[in-house]
Amino acid sequence: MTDFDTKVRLYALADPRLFDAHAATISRLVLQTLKVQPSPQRRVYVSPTSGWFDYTAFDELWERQAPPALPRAPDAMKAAEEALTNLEKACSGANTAWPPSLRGLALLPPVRLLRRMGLHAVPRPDGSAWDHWTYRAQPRLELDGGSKTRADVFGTQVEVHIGHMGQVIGVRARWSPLSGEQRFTDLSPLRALSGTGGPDAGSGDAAASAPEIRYCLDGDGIPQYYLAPYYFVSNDDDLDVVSASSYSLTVGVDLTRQDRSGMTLTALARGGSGNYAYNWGIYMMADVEQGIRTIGPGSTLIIKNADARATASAIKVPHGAYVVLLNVKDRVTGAFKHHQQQVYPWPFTDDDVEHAAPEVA
Amino acid sequence: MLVIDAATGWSFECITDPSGKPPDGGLVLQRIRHDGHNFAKDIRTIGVWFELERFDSLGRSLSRTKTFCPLSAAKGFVVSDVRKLEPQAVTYAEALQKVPGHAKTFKDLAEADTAMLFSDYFKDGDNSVACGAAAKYDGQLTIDSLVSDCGYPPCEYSGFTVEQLFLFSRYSNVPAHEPTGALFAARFHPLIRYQLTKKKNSAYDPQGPHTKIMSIRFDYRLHLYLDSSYEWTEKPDAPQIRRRRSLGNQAGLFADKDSISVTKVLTAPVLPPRGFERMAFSAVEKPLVAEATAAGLLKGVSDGSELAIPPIEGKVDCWDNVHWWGTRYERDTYISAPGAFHAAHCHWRWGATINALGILPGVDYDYGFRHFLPGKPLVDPDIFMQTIRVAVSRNDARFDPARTAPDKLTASEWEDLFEKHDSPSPQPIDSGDDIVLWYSTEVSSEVTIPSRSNAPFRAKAAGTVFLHGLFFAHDAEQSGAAVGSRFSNYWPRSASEIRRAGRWFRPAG
Repeated sequence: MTDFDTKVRLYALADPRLFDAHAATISRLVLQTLKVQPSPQRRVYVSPTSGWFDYTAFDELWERQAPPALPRAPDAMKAAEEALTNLEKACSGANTAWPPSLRGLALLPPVRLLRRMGLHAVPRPDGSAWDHWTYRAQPRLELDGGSKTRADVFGTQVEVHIGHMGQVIGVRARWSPLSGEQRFTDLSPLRALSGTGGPDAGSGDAAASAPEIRYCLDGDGIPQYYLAPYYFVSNDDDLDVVSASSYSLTVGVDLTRQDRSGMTLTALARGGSGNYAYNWGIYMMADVEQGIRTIGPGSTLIIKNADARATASAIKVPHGAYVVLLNVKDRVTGAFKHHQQQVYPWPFTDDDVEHAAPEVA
Repeated sequence: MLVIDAATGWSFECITDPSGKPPDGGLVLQRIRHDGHNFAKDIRTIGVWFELERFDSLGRSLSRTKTFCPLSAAKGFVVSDVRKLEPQAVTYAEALQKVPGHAKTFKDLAEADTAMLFSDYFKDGDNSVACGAAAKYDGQLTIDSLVSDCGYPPCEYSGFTVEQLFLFSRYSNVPAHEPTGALFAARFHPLIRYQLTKKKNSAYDPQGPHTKIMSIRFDYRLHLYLDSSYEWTEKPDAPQIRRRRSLGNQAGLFADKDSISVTKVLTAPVLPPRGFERMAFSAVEKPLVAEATAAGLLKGVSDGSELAIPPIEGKVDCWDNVHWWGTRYERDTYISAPGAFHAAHCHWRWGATINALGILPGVDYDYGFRHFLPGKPLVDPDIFMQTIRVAVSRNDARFDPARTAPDKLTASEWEDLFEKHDSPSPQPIDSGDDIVLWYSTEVSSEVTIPSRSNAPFRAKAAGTVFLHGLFFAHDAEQSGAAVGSRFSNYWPRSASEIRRAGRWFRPAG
């Protein structure tokens, strides 16, 4: 085993708009692969926000007039997996018709690494017939430099809907295409969670049983530039997602003070060097049309953990129920994490009472 | 108006009249799906109830009454056209997007701070978050009319302005839907934002006979429908579909670990089994044995004994959430709980013991300032004194909103619609059925919680209800140490006890 084998991989994500720029070509290739004619009833969509792929036959999925004749389960499974294999080929550099500016990029996750998650027959809402089969698979990536271990990419999923006579009537890939760039880094030891600052402050103890390591894709519309590994640690009654590399940042926000003039929110990143830069934004769900308001870097706090000093950030906002947004960067490594969190104030506040977490009051 | 929003994955039909206005009663959305998965057949607001109290010139209370106010022009509202909300794309930072394939992603992130700017992702002043539908109801004299129709003297408030915002978000894990941060879902927020307004030169005189608004109640009907799914090894056919007991939906009520005192749990007739679900819940009815009405909050608290004046439900313990799913898998198995990876989740409160660790080292978080505000209601803080009630009933043709006026789909005492109907015993729904979620939240004008303060907390004149919303997960079931069982769970009352009692109202404790 070499040092390289013990490293874990970081996967950079492609800019989804590169795919959006070739939407017409991708649509043509997908329809050709699925052997269907272009029609307003056939939609091929690649999200410019996330790169997630969707194909829907609107007149078949739920809307087919005559009850469909569904294939047997093994045939449906085969149809779904063949469709994925063919789509992967068609929408990647393996296809000579793939746009030159997308060379090296693939629309779908590596099909050979998919893990089957099941095949289910789905009935129509009125119970009159079975409408389609739904096939699901979990994308995975190679975790270590030696490609000995595969890790689930948490937050991703591939679905294929199989309808009448085994037709593919829907494909949904919750998957952001990779750019092809990889970086290799050390796997961080799992730090024990404790009340003294969480993973950064840990004792170095590993969990009693080896926790699972997964990559995390945060979701549609969430700024993210790369996939990094995280530990998924089960406690008695909880599950914690803990950094597994110096690029695998986590961010938390707490309401640390509330008084007549408003609420103080404090954010602390973990998993990196401790030297973090923050940028805050905010919006209210009921005012979603007003957009997001940028607040700025906030006030810097130095938090002393058990084994390090970390930069935290605090802002003051009026009382209210918000969604706060944070862009966080590790000034040493460039590791980046976008975080959003719902914040509700302490409700039982009368005008003469201040509530504060004592250490930061 | 058919909405197919590729950007978020949601599709729905928004019912309007020929001029583009919502029907009488408010927004109606039908055939709601996300990524091709069914979420609901029909979601709508039934209307608003005002409880009014009449006082004489000496400030003595003379009488109380409740009056129904559907959102319609007939009640004096100027109704807007339905407005469609479309989110803008979230794009990459300017500096990084110019590099095809981001061949230098890590280098650029380290060298430039461009990624830190919000303006590259979310354009200022643009909605980047949700698609949906909205409508405004401007009732400058609505309160005057309601009060006058009741034969009551003038009220401090004259008008009532309402905006309905039914919002649908993208599928993601950010912001987190649950404390574990390990459940992906798309959110649905059927918000109602309201404002009570005053009129200049009003006849209202607080020294003379006058009327006060004691509470405002918002009633919803959510005909959720999530897909059933079955694991067949062969070809499913019509006879198989007929043989299934039900292809309908099931629901469950859950109270988190702290919601009921340890003493009550330990002395309950049915003790929870070993397993992760015992760690998580102090009360469970999964799936609901029969139709039910239930309390979710009582004037902002989850334990009726905390209130200075006991609520009409009594000093009962409340539930914290309701979950909804399609019948599935093998017979007598259900969604995992905790977990529920293909389900609709509706949480208005989380137990006080979640997120026991704050983010800051050495800080005492007893005030509950932690993420998800453990132990406190997830409601608008300006109107936190809300009473949340939910009911799960079979979809009864007599309460079909397509054929029944809104005033026949509600009652002045909310639970009377269910409990005093001509079929007073709740019908069994445990094997799955075509079921409807009725959600109601009543904002009281004030509440006194002696453990917090002897002075009453008063509601503001404006607020938003249903802030916590619902979230719709449609992933494959998962397993693991932090995932609950897929079997039925009943405690502190057993399923047979619930059946024997034959009651609609079922408190958690």
